[in-house]
Amino acid sequence: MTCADVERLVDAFADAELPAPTMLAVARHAAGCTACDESVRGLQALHDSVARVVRDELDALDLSDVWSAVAAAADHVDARRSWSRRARAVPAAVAALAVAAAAVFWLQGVRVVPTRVASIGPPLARRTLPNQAFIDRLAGKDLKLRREPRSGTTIIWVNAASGGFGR
Amino acid sequence: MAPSDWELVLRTRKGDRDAFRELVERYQRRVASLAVGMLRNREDALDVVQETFTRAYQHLDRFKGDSGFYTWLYRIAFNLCVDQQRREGKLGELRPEQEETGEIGPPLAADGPPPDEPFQRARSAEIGRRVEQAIRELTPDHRAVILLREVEGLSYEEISRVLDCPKGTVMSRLHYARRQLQSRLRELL
Amino acid sequence: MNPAALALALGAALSIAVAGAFGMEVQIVSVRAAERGPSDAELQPLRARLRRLVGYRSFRVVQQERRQCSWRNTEEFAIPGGRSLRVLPKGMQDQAVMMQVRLLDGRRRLVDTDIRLRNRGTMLLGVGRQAGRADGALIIMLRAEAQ
Repeated sequence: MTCADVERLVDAFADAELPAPTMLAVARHAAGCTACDESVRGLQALHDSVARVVRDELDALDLSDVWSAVAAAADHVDARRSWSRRARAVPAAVAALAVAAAAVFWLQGVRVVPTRVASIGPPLARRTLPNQAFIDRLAGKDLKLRREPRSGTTIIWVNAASGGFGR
Repeated sequence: MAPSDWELVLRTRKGDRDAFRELVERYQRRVASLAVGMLRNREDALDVVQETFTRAYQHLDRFKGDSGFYTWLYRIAFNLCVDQQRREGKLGELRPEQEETGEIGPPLAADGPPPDEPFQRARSAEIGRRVEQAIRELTPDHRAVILLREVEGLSYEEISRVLDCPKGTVMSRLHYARRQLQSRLRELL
Repeated sequence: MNPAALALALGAALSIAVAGAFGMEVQIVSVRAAERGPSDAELQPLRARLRRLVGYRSFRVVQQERRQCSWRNTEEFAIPGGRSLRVLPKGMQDQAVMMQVRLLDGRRRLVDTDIRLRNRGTMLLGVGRQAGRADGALIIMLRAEAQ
């Protein structure tokens, strides 16, 4: 075992990832070589520093609410799964009856809506849209607009220091 | 004798919520350890911990038991950390005051060990900050191998499964990351 | 098409046609956003979404109000920091509530917008932190539901 060999193997040695005979050979060499011994100790010191830094930060973390948050999310997952199972199980006859009843109701012309307002922007499609809000007009200074695609949520952000216009 | 991870997984699949709770409590600290090392902020790390177990619950049917449960969890957590860091770069423009503070997350190990000597306390805190900063300067892939090895104690084989890369890649990344850290922390270590 | 899905879709269309006859309810929640610190439990389900939107990590409710609003009448909501939110519901179109929303800081208009908000949907306005003010960034959550 030479110093060059040890330099190549020192990481795996420090991690105990070498076969036993090789571990022994490296250990014997390092015991008699100051430079290689220093390499091994250097890795140990690095290990200690990194572990301590992360452990200190971990100790400051409050994990007491993790389970309640996970449980709430799990409830949500279970509810979605349960709904899908039930929807698939609805008998066709019951569904047909519901369709017929709804059609009769519509044919009677029951409409309770407020006075129509002149359209400002393009009409919304009948299908569900991903965005919760559409902006037809926007005025302001130093504004930023952002949409979060997963929920379709929009935010209009104003820089309070420089924003604002008119009175 | 405590039930194995696999037993708890099977029980969870049959609807035993307490079994999943036991898995969460068994591994939340380990997942948090990886998250807090990868990310800059405690709240982000907590988000990742919660999301990791939520996804694990949602996709428990995908866990086949051919690797350790914690390996599977780490993989989920690592991917979430990477996603979080990708989003970091896109979020800056709505927080101009971030530049005013000059510091993104709380300093690590700010309290340090409890020696009486104030200079030593300050020195310990400074070392902690330097080490934390050096870790942050690694790429996510290099940071992950350092954390999984030095903090979580995973074998090269386990790390390769978490990161979905060959064992040789794990070894070379670890070698590189260690030399980088040693170079930046030369006078401290 | 799945008959069950068709029945559900028709039922939903019917309920929406009935909605809006009596105006709408507006809910305004003012949230203080900060870089660090805890978040209110009621906002935990929204934390990840807010984080993705605005980058802050801590969210605390500072004020909230629900109010019935009638069509074409302006309602003014007090917002922390001497601000106000004026909402003028104009009506419903398709499945959305149409309204004019103005955010004012004293008499200074910060935002003036016409929006179509999906019924029971939420939209946000954000005000960045001002130099010299210690109150942090503010997020105003606006939710509308036709009655």
